[in-house]
Amino acid sequence: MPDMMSCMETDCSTDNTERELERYLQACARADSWRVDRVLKESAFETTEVVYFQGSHGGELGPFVRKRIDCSAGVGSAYEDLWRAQHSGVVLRSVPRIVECVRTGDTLAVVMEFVEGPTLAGYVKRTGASVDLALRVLPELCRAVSDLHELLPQPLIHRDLKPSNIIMSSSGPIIIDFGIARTWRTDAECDTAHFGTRAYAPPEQFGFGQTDERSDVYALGKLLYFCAMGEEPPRISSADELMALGLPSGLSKIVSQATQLDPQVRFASAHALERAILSQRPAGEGNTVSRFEKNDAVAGEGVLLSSSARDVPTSSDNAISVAPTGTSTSRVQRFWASLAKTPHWLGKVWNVLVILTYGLLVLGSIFAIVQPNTEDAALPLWFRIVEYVLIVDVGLAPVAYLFLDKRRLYDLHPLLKVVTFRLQLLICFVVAVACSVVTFLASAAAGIQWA
Amino acid sequence: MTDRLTEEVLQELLEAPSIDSFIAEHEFPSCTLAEYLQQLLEQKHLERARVVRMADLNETFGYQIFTGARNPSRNKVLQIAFAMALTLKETNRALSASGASTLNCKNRRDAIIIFCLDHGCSLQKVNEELFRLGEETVC
Repeated sequence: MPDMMSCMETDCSTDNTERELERYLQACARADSWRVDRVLKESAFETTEVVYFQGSHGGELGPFVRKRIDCSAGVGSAYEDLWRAQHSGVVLRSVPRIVECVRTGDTLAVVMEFVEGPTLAGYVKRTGASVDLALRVLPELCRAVSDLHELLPQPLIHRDLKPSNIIMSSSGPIIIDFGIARTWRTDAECDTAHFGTRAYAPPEQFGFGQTDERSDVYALGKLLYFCAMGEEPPRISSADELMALGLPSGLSKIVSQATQLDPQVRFASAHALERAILSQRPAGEGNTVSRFEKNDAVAGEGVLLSSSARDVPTSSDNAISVAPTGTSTSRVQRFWASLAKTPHWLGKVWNVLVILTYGLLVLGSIFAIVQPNTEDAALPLWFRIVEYVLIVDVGLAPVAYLFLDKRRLYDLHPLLKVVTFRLQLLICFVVAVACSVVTFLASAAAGIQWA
Repeated sequence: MTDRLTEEVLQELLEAPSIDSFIAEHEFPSCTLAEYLQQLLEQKHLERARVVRMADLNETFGYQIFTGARNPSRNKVLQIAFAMALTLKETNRALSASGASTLNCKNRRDAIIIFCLDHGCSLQKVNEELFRLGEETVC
């Protein structure tokens, strides 16, 4: 149970626990009031049913979808993350509203709204696959997926995006089935559970690293192909071969980039993919990305903010009522998320600047020792050495390390990630204090009076 | 058809379970409480004497439970479960091994105990909660 909050005997945790216990007991008491109407899906790990809630006075609420998931294989925790996010006020437009989420031991029982509408597979079959349809549906889908990546405290990677897991409801595409979705963990080297549908899942999902936002980008690329061509996407990602199959060149390039085997080469985020797709739309339909209150400027990707209602091309199926996305994600975390998206070459330039600055300061300190100004000349040489070397060279070294862009370094030496940002700050502080203390003691030993 | 694929892959990849889970699932089909507790002690690297102390059990009685000389009541098994920080699955297995009924979330008292087990609460904490909610405490 890795994500369980453990009870500590502190006041605020106790209150939290008591409230959670209350909620749990109420949910257990309600357990008998759910009437199962029909079973949608049953497997060893998950049972999905349509249920109705029978009120005490004979009335019935519903329908709802109830999933009972066996979490011992490491699946299903995504629902708890979604529940927590929805409960704390995050508006996720393309996710079904979770009504109840109760965990008993290894079994998770989730009740959520029943979304009416055909799956994307049915919709494409009914309406007929075309480039138009793809250009209409995919941007909304990308937006839904980037909501999941960006609006939660930690990005939620769906990992099973495919036509049968997307419902085309009257208010746009709704993503369902978070069975194998998982929250991105900063310290995981690779996913512990490997699942997915072969045609839509990227290679890293089968054990070669941790899946991240770009795994969903891969699936979205495959979905783009599916919407445009109407058939299961083949296992090719070269633009030429895609064009040979009949996909127009603009889309072929996009699909090709999105479905590259190497995640580094793909679009860095669902948002970037969305903009690329929108740029393929014929001029008349507008290219603005309407996103409300996206107040994180994602580095390197200028986002056009528009507060008008979304441009709705053609069919009324896609009228989405746009609402401001209130988010309770901490600003700091979103800042880091957007920082992590800066291109690597920029990071290298930054590193060079930091090191040059540090080098200059070290040089300056050497000069101060060797050619002191009038004030310092009075001080003994050994003291000057101690003072400048300690305070400038030693004291500023952890600060310089703190400022470096260490992403490539972490890729090469993952163990270094143990030294978190907070720890680095602490080290800077401790080193600064230690150097000051030593310098002060040295000055006392040298008999210097600080005026 | 695509739905099938996820399930199939799931099955495929899980056909070869990890060694640990295999041991956990298959080594004790139907054993006695004492054997199961011994196995859990080894698995979790715990000391019997400490567990007995933390479970608030009489030393001799505790020893007898672990050797199989005495069969404990349901509450005593729960005390041990909290002392060893067992999961719900493990606790239920211990309860059925001792012949007692497993924890059922439809029973209010059991539900509180389940919740506390899932949240890693101490024996003291679960007693507090049971008392606060007007149920019979564990010990």
